[in-house]
Amino acid sequence: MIKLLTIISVLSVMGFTTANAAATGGTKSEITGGGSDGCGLGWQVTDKKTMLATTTRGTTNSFVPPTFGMTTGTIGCEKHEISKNEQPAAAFAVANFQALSTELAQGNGETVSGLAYLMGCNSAELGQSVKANYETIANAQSGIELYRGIRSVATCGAGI
Amino acid sequence: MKPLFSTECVRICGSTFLNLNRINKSYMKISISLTLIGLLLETAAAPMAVAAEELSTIAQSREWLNLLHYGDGWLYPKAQSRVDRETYFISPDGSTNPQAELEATIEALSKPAMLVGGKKTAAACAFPVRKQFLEKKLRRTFPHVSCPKLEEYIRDTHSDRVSLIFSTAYPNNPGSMFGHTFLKFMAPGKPDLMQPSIGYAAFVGQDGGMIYMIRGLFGGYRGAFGMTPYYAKLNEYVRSESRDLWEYDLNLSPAEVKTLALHIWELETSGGFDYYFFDENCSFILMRALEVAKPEWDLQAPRLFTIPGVTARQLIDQGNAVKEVKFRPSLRRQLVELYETLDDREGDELRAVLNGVKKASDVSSPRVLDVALTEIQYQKKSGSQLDQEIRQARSKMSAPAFFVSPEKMKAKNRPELGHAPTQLSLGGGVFEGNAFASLGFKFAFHDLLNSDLGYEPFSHIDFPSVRLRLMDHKGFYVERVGLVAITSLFPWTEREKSRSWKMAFDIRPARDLECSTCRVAHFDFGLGVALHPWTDKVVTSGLFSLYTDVGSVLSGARIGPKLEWLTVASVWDWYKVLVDVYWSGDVFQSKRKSGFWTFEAGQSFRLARDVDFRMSVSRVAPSLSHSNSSQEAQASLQVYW
Repeated sequence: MIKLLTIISVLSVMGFTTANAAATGGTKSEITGGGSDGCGLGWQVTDKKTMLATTTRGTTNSFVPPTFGMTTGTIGCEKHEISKNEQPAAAFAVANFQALSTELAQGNGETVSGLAYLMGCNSAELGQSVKANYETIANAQSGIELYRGIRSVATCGAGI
Repeated sequence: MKPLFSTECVRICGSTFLNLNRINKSYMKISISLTLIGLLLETAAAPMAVAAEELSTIAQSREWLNLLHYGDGWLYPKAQSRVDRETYFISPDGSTNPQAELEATIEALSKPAMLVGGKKTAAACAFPVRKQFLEKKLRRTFPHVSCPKLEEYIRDTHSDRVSLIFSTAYPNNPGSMFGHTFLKFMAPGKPDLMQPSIGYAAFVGQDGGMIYMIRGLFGGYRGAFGMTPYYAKLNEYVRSESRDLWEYDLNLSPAEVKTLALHIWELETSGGFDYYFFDENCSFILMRALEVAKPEWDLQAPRLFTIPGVTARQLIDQGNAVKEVKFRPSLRRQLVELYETLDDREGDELRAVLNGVKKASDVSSPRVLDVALTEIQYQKKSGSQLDQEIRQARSKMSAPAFFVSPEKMKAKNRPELGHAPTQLSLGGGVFEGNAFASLGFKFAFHDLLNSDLGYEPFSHIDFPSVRLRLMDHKGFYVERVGLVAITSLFPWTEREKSRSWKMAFDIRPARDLECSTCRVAHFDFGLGVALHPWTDKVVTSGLFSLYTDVGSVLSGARIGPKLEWLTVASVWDWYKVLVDVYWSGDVFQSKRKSGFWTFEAGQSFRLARDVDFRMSVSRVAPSLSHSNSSQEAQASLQVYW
């Protein structure tokens, strides 16, 4: 009897683990956005797509900051020689790199408005001026490069 | 002030009149001095001056107990705070004696030099909500203190509105049906993406597997609040994980919104809860914090577990708690909607562009390019050569981005439309010619016959359940016990070639055996493919599983393969049909030469959000047309709460 119970327990644990594995399917997690740069908030907060993790989804493997405040990911922007005033905008461009590159090609969108807000710009003006000079940023390989490109062609945002 | 001796007495006492007068005057002087001293003491030593009765009332008030997070008396004792950090309490007995904590807080607020809380600061800086609450209740002002870090936090969370955000399930993962909740504070004039967002999570480091499960279930992780701009949450949920977000704009005044933010400061800088996946999780903590901001809301439903989606519903059930509901579709859902706007020609053009067969610059419709760009982002192939070419071509077209309104997508899956998780079932039927009555109970959550309103379609996850039957000649008996069962039917499409899977662990009657009510412990796990045959309302799937049954009736165990054809149809929101046919083999042929067939068909009628009625028939036989079979028909009424 005990032997049978052991078999069942082993099988159920295997079952759970396989269920977990099956549930993990889909996209492999990766750090996109600024996580690797150190500037901007990376997307990947936890790679735990197991059943239990997503059951609760209240997990993260970030560190606990010493003071409770807004985490904007501007800390790592210094090493890219971006002035303090520009850091929030640069961090934003890094964290929203994919969506921003796309929306700038279209000329409008929420990330365009978000960047405009941080640059002290009018959203339509930012969108249109960058779209008109899209070749400058089309090949940007990183959020920082994208940001620098935007700054060079945007007709607004000189204030920051 | 009354004289020490009445004038009458003095007159009667005659000869001592002059002496008594002198005593009278001294007494008056002494009395006046004592009164003055008394008044000075009153203003200096506050607790002594607040009437004991008033203190006791405040100490036992709902607001004070909420602030200290004392238990609700259900599974957690009323006389104990749920906060796990000593630093949250100023009095050494603060976690078990609300009055002692009240007195200690008043003292600390009166003496700014006293350093308290998790960061060793003045009480006004560590506990701003307590200060606010006590100033109102005691009708007094405590000494002002400068709190630079608190002031920075107040600037960061500056807002006049707050939304409770709820995320839906991760595709192909029924476990994620529980969802997650967090808050978005909103300041006027700020783009949504930049609004401060606060969530509560467990910090799990690099743990995985078994350790992760055990620590998570038993409070081995520290929970903490984190604040990021809303775009960080959108990136995580909508883009990275393909989950929809529902935003419930709460009916709180700006002062209440501020109180909420300040209480989170109190909890994060001085308090702390060990994170328990099932009960003290993200939504539990957020509900407790909301109750501090809005004591008239009753969000403490006695439950063994806290499910975010259910807490979202509780909030809405308060009536008037929610001003507005907004929907943010996941990237995946946006794509599904976008594809529907393309006609056949455009669909072909899209595929041609994505396969590199057609150049993006040859496409005339900006909409086709917009769908292509969304598809590329969904597949996480941004930055590729193809992506760059499409973006370049798109930038030459003046049209703004094509946008499908979330309003259109909203109606289908509002979480508050869903049934409650716990189920009680009452029914009856006929089993192999014998009539029976049945009574069932299930802790949670959602099965294939439940209406999909408010839930991820065609998904199933069930937690422990038990079903009792009363039958002639057998009396009362436990018909089955469910431990866990999960089914994930994710339709395979050209675009997303996903697999489906299913598992079950329960104690069930072995209906193919002689003793068809004898129970065996059953475990199975399988993989398969699901398809939408001609409409989204139906899913049909083929699954291959391995199962094992263990029980004394088998004199041991049996193991075998299972081939299954499962079809579920969500005909209308209130009517569902299920047909399940499977063959179970027996590898070691312990009980028979061939396997056996099971056929089940069921239908359910959603009578109200939390009531449904079901009817089902089933047949187990060595072959589909065999004369010797175990047949059952039943009907039952289910209620949920």
